[in-house]
Amino acid sequence: MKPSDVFRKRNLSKVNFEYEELIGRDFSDSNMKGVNLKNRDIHNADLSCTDLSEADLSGAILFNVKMRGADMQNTNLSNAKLWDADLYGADIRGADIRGADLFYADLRNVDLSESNLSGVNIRHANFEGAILKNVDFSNANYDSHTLDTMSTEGKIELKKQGKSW
Amino acid sequence: MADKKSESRYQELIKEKKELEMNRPHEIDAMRRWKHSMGKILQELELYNK
Repeated sequence: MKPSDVFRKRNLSKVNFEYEELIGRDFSDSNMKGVNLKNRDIHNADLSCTDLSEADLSGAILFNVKMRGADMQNTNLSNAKLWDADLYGADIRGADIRGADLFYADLRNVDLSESNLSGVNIRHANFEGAILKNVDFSNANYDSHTLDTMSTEGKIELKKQGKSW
Repeated sequence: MADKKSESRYQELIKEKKELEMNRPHEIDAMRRWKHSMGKILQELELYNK
C-alpha cells in the first residue's frame, strides 16, 4: 500500500481529522458519513464515490476536489469554496449549500432535489442532466452559460429566484 | 470597423479562456488568481451574450 492510499476505501466515519493534513489526499470509496470537516482546507483531494452524507463541510476549501458519484445527502456545504470541483453524478439531495461558491463546478447528472442553493455563485457551472426538483435558488448568482446547461424547468426556477450576473 | 474590432476581441477572449482552462493551477494562491482572471474574461464574454 502506498502512503497516499492510507485513507482509501476505509471506514473513516469516526475519525478525528483535527490534526491531519488533508490537502490533495485520496479518500475515494471511503465511508466519511457525518464527519466534521468544517472550515478545513481539502483542495485537490479525491472524494470520488465517498459517503459524505450528513458530514459538515461548511466553509471548507474544496476547489479542484473530485467528488464524482459521492453520496452527499443532507451534507452541510454552506459557504464552502467549490470552484472547479468535479461533482459529476453525485447524490446531493437535501444538502445545505447556502452561500457556497460553485464557480466553474461540474454538476452534470447530480441529484440536487430538495437542496438549498440560496445565495450561491453558480457562474459557469455545468448542470447538464442534473435533477433540480424543489431546489431553492433564491439570490443565486448565475450567467448565460449556467442557464444554457439547465433543463427547461431548472431554467425557469433559476430565472425566477436568482440574480443574473 | 466596430464590428470587426468586437469580433477580434471576442476571439481573443475565447483564446484566453481556453488557455486558462488548459492551465489550471493546484496551489491555493495561484488558484485564486486563476479564478479572478477567469471571472474577468467571463464577465467580458457575458456582454457578447446579451
